[in-house]
Amino acid sequence: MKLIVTALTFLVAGMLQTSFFDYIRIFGVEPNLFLVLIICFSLLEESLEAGFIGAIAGIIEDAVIGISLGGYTLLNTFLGISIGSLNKRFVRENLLVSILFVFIFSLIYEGVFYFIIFYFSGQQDIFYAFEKIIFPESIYNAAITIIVFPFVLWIDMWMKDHTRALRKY
Amino acid sequence: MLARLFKNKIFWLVIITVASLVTLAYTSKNRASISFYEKVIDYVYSPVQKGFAYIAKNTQNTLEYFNNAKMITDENNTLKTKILELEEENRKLAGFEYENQRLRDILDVKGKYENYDMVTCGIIAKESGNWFNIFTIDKGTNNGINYNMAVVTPKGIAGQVVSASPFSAKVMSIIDNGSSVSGRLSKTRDLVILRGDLKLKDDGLIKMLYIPVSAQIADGDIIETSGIGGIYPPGIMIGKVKNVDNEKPKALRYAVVEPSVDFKKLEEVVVLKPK
Repeated sequence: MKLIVTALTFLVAGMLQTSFFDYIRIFGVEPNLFLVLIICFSLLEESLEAGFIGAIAGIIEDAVIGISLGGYTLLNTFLGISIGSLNKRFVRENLLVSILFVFIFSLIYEGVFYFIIFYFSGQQDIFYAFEKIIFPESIYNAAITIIVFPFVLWIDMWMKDHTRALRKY
Repeated sequence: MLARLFKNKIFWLVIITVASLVTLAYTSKNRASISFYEKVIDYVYSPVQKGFAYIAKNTQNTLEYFNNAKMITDENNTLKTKILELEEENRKLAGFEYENQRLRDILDVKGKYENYDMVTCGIIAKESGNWFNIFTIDKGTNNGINYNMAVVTPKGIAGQVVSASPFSAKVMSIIDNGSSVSGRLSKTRDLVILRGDLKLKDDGLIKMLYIPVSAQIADGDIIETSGIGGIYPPGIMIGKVKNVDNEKPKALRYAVVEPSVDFKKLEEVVVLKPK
């Protein structure tokens, strides 16, 4: 059940991202809805569950905006695991905490992405990438968290209520 | 014991990591055929993307209709005068065309697009993200489009197909970071390489590298495809030189080229399908 709901969320997110988000660019960057959703989901789960959510998101993201299969799967799985293991000391359902997490982990994730894909192929202007692409994108991601996180909270609570009703004790 | 292994989550995570590394290695090379999973995703996504693209285009057209009334009337008048001039020129050129064909037959030279079928496609999604410049077109393997086919417009080259699903295909534009086109300077016939660059792609420009030391380049020089590499047929316009960085030693110099295609406004492209 959880699997289907998560997969459906990411499928719809993929549709939104590819059809609309190119039109709402600010300063030349668009928000990465997949990234925001994964961080928001992982915030509410524990480490290994978050890893699985990352894997599902990665599989869908590969088919939608990737060229080879497996790249985004790998990155998102590890993103899920890292957030899942770091969120224990925070009040998880707090909007400000989620905005902070989205901002910081957008920086880290896109930084790693740039490092793996561009840095080793000879383009070493990392300051340009940070200033013009990664930083504005992280801010934009943090801004759309305000809309996305309540939605993720609602899905999470709906899933928990639903599975509680299915339990036999 | 095996049942406990399958319930162990760390085991599954290791499986996922290994599986994704394997598929990554397998699918990173040239992909002539697409996995079944990607075909399913494409089947679900293309209608939605086509629908939204249609809505967006019509909204844009409606808004433009109201904005541009006066501008269109003026343009109409100038165009009418231009038509008269062009019709006159056309009469002259018809004579040249006949002679050209006659001479071509004598020399047995093949035309630019004679070996290709031209398939017109619209753009339904611009999945550039922030790092890449890859767009999706609304025709796929069902229309005969396949990996590594050239994508052009009447103004010049636009990119190449990097992945083809039954109902849509992904095209990497020439301003994308990973795109590398072999070009030729029209005037001096020197061979150069044109590559997309992360810094220039937002302005829609590309970089010209590996310029032969003896080549003379000036601003405004025209660059066309050389045909080497097998993807783009030769003789198609790529763009004009915008400025040359002459301060570096001649072996390391590069130039910024403005492609003749405006990638921000691109709506329709033509895919060259080999016959």
